[in-house]
Amino acid sequence: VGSEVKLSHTAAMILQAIEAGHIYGLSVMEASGLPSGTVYPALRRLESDGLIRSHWESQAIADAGQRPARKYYRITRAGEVTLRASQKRYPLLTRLFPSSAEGKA
Amino acid sequence: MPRRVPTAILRSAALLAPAPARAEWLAEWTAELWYVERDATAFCLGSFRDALSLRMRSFSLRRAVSLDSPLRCLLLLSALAASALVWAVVCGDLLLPSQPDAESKQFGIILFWMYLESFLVLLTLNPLGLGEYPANRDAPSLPIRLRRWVFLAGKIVLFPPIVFFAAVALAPVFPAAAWALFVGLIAGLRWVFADQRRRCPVCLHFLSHPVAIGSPAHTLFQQHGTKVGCARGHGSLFVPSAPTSWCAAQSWQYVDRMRGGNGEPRAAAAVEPTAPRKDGDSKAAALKARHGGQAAALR
Repeated sequence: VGSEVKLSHTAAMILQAIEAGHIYGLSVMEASGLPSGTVYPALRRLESDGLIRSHWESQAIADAGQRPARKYYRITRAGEVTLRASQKRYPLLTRLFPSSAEGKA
Repeated sequence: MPRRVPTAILRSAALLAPAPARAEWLAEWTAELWYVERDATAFCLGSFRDALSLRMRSFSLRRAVSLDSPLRCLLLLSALAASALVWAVVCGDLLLPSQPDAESKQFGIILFWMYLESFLVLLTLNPLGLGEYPANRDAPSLPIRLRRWVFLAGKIVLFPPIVFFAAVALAPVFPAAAWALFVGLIAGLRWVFADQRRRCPVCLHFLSHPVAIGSPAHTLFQQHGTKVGCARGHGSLFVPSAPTSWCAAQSWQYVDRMRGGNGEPRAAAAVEPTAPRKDGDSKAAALKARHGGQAAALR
């Protein structure tokens, strides 16, 4: 895994969206404009490649909000390295979604 | 807001997802659907692509061609027979007559005789017996026991076309195709019976977890061989390492249903050593006790 993984533009876009704070599937869809049939398979592929990690929201929090628990995605260290490499490959990627660090600044 | 159509779409798509991951997959999509405000149907249609990609990723060629499942075994044999037929028509110039004429009938009779001969040849090389499967109180119902014979008959019927059409396809480039057909029939029949012997008579899946029983130095009145069990807990099969007068063929022991129902693990009953044939023989009883200890140690 790591920097050797070469992502397609779509996969890089989804990874960039997750890093930018869009941490669940629907949010990635809304941010990227990609359909569900593209986003969810890509999320699974990225997860199996070790570039993102998923976890389920606590049931107690979901119950408090009277809604179902969601599955959240988080970028891993390997994912960050791959994303940096992808940003060099696709220079316009950072302009699509400003990263969370940039957003805070 | 009732969302019957999107939910139905998700449930249909879930059937495409691999079974171990299905519940979590459906939970994620259902949770996401809860937040979708518009175009819920379009959103859910994407689930088919997701489920299919998940299925493709979990696809294993080894598992796909595995013959463990009896249904898959028969389907694979059917697929091989169909492929061999196409191969014979394309490469072997096989002509399929619209109406059977005298020549094709004669050819069919020759083939049938060849098939019977292969049975006889196999009988001299290898016994066709399947072993002892006692129909005692622990045995399953008759329809379940009959399934085993139907499966055997299915294999016996399905494999000759594979060998025949393969021989026809090879005939233009291989002059001894008739001999290849004969040898192929014998080898195929041998496989059919060998395959049947290593299956559970109840669920028809392969037996597993072999355990060595006894030792070659103490064979008098003692079982020496291998015991294999059904992973689904239907019983165990003892395969003697060498046929003896008291244990000539492999013998199946159904799991004791009474013991299974009293809270004891069924698997434990399944690997219980079989009783010696000569009841009342004190030596055999003593050996049985020792044999039980060995089996427990091996376990």
